[in-house]
Amino acid sequence: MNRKSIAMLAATILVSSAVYAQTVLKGKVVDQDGKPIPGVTITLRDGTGTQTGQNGEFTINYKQAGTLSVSAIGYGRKEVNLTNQTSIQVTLQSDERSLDEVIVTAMGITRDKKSLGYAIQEVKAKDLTDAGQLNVTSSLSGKVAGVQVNQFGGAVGSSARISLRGNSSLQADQQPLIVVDGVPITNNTQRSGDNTYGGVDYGSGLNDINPEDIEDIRILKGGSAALYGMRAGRGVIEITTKSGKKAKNGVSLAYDGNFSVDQVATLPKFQNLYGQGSRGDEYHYNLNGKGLTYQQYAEQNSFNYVDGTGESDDGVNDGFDESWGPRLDIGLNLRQFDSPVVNGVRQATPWVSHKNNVRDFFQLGHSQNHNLSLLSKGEKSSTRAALSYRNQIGTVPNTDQTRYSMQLNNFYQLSDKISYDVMANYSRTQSDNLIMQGYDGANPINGFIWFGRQVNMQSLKDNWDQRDPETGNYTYYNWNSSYHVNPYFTMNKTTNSLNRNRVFGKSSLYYKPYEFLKFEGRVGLDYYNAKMFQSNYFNYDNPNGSFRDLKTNNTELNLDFIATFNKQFGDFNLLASAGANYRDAQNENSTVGADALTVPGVYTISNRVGDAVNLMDHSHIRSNSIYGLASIGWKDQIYVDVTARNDWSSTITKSFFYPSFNLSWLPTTTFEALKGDVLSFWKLRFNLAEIGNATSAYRNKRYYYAQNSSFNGVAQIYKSMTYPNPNLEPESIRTWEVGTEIGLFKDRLHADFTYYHKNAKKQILPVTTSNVVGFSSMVLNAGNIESKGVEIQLRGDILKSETGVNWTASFNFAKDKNKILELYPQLNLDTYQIGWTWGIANMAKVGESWGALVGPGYNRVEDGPMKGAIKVTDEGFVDNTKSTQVIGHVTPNYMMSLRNEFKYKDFTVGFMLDFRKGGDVWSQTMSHAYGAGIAAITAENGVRERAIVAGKDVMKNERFAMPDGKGGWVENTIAVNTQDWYESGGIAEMYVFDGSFLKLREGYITYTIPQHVYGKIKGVKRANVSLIGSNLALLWVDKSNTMRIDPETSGVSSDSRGVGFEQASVPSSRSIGLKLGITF
Amino acid sequence: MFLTNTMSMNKIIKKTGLAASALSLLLLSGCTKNFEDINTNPDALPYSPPTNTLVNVLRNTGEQFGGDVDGYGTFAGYIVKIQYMDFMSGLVPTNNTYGNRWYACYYNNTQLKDMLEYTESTAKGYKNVRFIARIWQNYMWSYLTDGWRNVPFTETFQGTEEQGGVLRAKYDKQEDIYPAILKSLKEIADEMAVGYGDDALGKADAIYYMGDDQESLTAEMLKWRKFCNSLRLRLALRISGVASDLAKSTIEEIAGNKGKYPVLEENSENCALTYPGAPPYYEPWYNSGMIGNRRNNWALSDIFIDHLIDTKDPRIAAVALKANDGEYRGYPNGAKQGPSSLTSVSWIGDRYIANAAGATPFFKSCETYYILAEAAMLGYNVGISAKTAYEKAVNLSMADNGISSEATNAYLEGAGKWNNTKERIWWDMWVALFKENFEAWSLYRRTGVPTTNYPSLNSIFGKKHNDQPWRLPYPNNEYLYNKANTNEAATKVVDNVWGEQMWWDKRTGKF
Repeated sequence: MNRKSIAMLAATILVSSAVYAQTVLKGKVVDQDGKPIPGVTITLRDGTGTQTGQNGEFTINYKQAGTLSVSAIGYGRKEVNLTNQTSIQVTLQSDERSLDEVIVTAMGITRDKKSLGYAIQEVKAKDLTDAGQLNVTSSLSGKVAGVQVNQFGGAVGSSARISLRGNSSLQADQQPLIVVDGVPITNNTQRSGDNTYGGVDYGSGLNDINPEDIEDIRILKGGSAALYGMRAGRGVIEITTKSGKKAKNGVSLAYDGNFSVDQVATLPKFQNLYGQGSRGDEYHYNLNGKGLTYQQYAEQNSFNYVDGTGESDDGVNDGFDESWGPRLDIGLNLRQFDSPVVNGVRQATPWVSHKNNVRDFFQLGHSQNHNLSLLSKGEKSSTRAALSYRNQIGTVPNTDQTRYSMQLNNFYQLSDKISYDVMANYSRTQSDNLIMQGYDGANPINGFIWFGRQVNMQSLKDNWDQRDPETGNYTYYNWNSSYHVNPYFTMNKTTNSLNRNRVFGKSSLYYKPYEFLKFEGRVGLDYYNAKMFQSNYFNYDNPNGSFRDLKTNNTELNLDFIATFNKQFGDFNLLASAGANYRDAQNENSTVGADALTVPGVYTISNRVGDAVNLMDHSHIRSNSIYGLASIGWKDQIYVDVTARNDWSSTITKSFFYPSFNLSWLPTTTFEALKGDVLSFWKLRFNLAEIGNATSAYRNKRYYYAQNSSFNGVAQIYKSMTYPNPNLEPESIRTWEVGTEIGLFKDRLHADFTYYHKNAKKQILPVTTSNVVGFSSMVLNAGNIESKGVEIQLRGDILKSETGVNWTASFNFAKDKNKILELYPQLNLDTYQIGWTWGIANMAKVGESWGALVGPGYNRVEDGPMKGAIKVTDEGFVDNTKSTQVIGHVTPNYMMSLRNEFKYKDFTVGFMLDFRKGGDVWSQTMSHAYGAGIAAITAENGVRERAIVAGKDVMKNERFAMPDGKGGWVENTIAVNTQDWYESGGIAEMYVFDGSFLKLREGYITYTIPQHVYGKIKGVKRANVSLIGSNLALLWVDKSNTMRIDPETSGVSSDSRGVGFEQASVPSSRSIGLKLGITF
Repeated sequence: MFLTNTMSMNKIIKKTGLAASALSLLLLSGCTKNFEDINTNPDALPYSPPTNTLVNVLRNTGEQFGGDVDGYGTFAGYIVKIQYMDFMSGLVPTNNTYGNRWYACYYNNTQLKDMLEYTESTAKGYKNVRFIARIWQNYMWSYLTDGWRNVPFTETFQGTEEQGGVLRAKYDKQEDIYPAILKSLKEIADEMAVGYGDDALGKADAIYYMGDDQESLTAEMLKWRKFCNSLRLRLALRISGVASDLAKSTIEEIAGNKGKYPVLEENSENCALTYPGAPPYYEPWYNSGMIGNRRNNWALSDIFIDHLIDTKDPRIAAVALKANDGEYRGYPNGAKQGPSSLTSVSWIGDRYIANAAGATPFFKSCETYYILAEAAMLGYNVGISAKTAYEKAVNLSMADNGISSEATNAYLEGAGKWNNTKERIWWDMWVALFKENFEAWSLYRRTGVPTTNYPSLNSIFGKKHNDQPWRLPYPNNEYLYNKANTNEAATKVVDNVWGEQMWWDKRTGKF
């Protein structure tokens, strides 16, 4: 007898404490291939039971004849009639995969998937890493129905915003809760700036996890997250890290790595017919150029460069950063910024286009990712240790990010009853420079929106660091010297660095006194420390330089105690779990900086001019919770779950209770006859839950604050203009969902449909009030946002063949339709501002969907024959006297994605298409590029060669009406010129585009090297090589997106405040590379 | 066995259940009790010392109203845009620009009211700071009513539950607000005439700080008292055409008893906020013009420059830069496009835009004398002749602009010579008010001077309006969150800024 058997026997004896008149049954459970199955649950009618050991053997005492129930996860259940046997061998058939898949659910409780009354979607390691995506957020994009991941632009290390089942909160941050191995970690998007115009994006916290270390990700979209209570309102993303638990005994070492090149992919569409200047086109020449040749007209009236300031006496429009100048490529010679100066006189040089000047600015970026992992498994313990290195060089010159990480997972079975595990993750993310985003003088992208289309980027690249020989100072060599700084100067001298250390992990001790009872004590920690340094050498927003030294410390501690009970009672299976949680979250931020410096380029406090910039900010939240789950399953076909949680939070005075109810029924098990060649599996489910959204600290008192700077040395103190709410409650979300899962043709075709409904009430609203009342906003619980949605997942093994082509396709579809039913009628409050930029607001408006873009819109004729036509003024320009109106809706109509994987012998080819319908975006790039005459549309169809009429020459898809002089409206015939039309005739609605797109999100070709090839090399167990690509192509956009801007980019803010706005965004880039994997 | 087993099961359930409930009780009783402390913001303050409230309000007023370059500056006929023309398209309800100024006034008065409440029980010990707070409250009200005519006044600051929860305040008529401000200022003036307090202001008195000794404090308080009375003069004269009794009695009371009601008389007494001149507090015009590199966005208007040239006014050298050909040249308001060479027109002069540590004026002492001159012309008994008062005013303004007395005298002998008309006072006052753009705009609306003033040549309103705006658009937030009252107040308003003139604006033929 080995020790295992002794322990087993001991356990058996303990359970059956009185031994008399019993038959001892020894048995073995094997699979269809005769291999022993460990961990099989053996139950008698009376509730006694045991489990099989590693060798599949078990021993149980029984008193009288009856049924023995044998069940194991992943296998069909079997019942054996006992008469008087003393030994038995039971063979279990492995089940269809979907029927008996197990899944880890909320709070780390492992369940049979069939027992769940709600939709839960999993993304496996392979799906995350097939295409070599470098971070978790981008690797999740498009892979889960109802999950919208917005990756903000193509800058290295940029953040992403995740929303599950649409947007149902009015709070700025409404990302789901992230839980790794049962421990919540923060996913703060770390960003400096004002969330209105710009700032540096330091990335999403979620991306501190290496995708290569992830075993799987589960998305709890609705009521399934109820056990997380107050923090579950936005859904939960649960991540399980890779461990050695499922590995084969032994030790293996694996290397997985990839290298890819990144190329800027979605540049806006520019015109290349006219260069810098004003009124230089044929229309203006014909109008004003009397007696002059075009060459003379161009240099005398449109553009003549002297110093780029617009202030020199001889220059003509040389400080003008727009491209309404003379026609390019027709032999003109004009003085330009890079024309040679001979004896103090600038010589005219050919006025020619540089079609790729913006593209030329970007470089070929590259990224590499190397992962080394060790797996070890023995009788009692399993370990996975992984080291990784990732390095990215951005497409924007001088931007980079490096990450070093370490991950350790260890499990040790100390005895039959006692075990523990440890998970630890450390990462260090560092960047020497990340690009400033949005409308900021330090974002070079703005200099391409206000631009001279003739500018030769090479001249800027060659001379950015030119110095005045007499003073030694930089000359700030650039094409413009009144608004813009040479983009290379900015990227080299105005830098934003990052250095973030993060540790998260957990350890659990498990005590399992009986097979059916388990206790877990757990400590989880998430800690990070980030240092960000922003320096500004010179630009026209900060002519005297500036800097900010930002530090953040964030700690979240979670203590949990959980008891789990799982036992079969005859036909009934009872699963019960109860737990308590203590959470303490602390955050501190500090900023030191200056807004002017004595010596340029020296970023120290002692070098400042004027007051130093100093900020301190703290937040501390604590909560206690108890929670429980009870699930009863009957004959593996009907499951009823009840969960409950009660939260006490320091931010809120009351305590809150969150219940949920789930029901799952498998008709194909109840009525075996339903099963056939066509239908192999059918499940119906229902879920009802209440979940919440907590609030931030310190919202229940009215405080006084001091301005960041004193005035003449006297602190400036003010009373907060926010009226607090001492009785604030968390947001309350009541949701129900029904769903069904169907497996057809031996589950080769698998479908999952969900319909959900949710009402998000008690929205936490810092409501703006009239500011004459003694405050300007008050914090309220109010409102009701209703969301209804459909999610469809289809998976098909379309072709299945041992020797031929295998084709697997999976399809996700999600439609979320929401509506603001009510905000705060007591105050006639029917609009609430979620975000704002450039006079356009992203609003919650009663009767509209979440995120109505509100801004100056067209004034349309209300009735008569010209009804619907856009009114123009007497001068022929768009009438913009009408005050604000709804000009777009940011919420997409629906989203879908299609993933295909083809396998032929050792080759695997996969790709994913991602489609979004709708979701309007107001674009600052469009707004300014139209005005600055650089957008392609401003020079199309010869509009600069003649006078134009709105509706005939521009915006042909719209009708325009002019006043008939008698108070009525007639067809517009007023001729205007293109420069005035775009420069001063624009209106916000003109720059709203429909954000629909079709993208080829990722693709890969993998060659799994056959064993006979590498078999000769000693120790190699696996080898594969792949060609990978991500963000491969923006295949289609809506016509209204005239500049072909990536609808997923942003530039304003990484949270809800930035949704629906695009601002000087960094073009996204396409990555293509090689991936290699070897296991020893 | 069956029996025993079940019993042990029950025991286990009982035991674990008990343990769980005991644990949770322990957790909860132990850990919710310091939740109150945890949820107290360590970065905030429990109250504000009164002088610290004051300095915040004064600085905020200066930045908000002193930051205006081409808003009221254009309405007043001083400054035009030469890049980024807006053609009056910005005159819509918004929370920015004019909405910010509205907010600043109510924000400041919220802070001052809070300070007055906080010091109410210890009023004696905070006498001085309370005087200033009350004067400034009235100054804010005057800004509000001169900008928006009818504004929430009596029902304001009652939003909290304790104060009645009035979240939608009714609008009061300008006709009622003016007398109330004048009444309040008189009360303050009378109280100050009795005596000041002992509480030191220190540098929190960002306007008149002289020193920390008692003598300086007394001198500072005297200046505040003078500002209070001068403000009364300004407001009284403004309503002289519509409430002559109140105007006359107020002005005569002050002018007739300067001992009790002293007024601002010297440039050294100008009510103005001077900035430290280093980040983050540069003089606002310097900040946008020099630090923000937008000096070339503006030129002086042809209305202004033409007048200064016509009258050979030496102040032209202070307010304007010469164009690149050495001449002074204004630019039309709302031209279709800017000059192709930005330097071919006159920009704002260094004295006004190129001094980092410059000042935002709220009341220049010369105004006292322009007011007295006009009052004398109206036949009020002000104890000074119109001519003397006018000439004193001109001398003060010239000196304030660094103009020599020779040049001043030449002007007073030339185009600036007293001619016994109110127009002469108004035109000169208009020149003197440069940078006090809001006041200059009020002067224009009341008197029609400068008569050459005109609105944007290429207005988006076409020919619908022939005048500069009469008022400011109500902020968008008022339309959103105080809808009924705002709509009612705006009944007569046309295109947000026309339709209804100020109570004291009796000009005709304008629309």
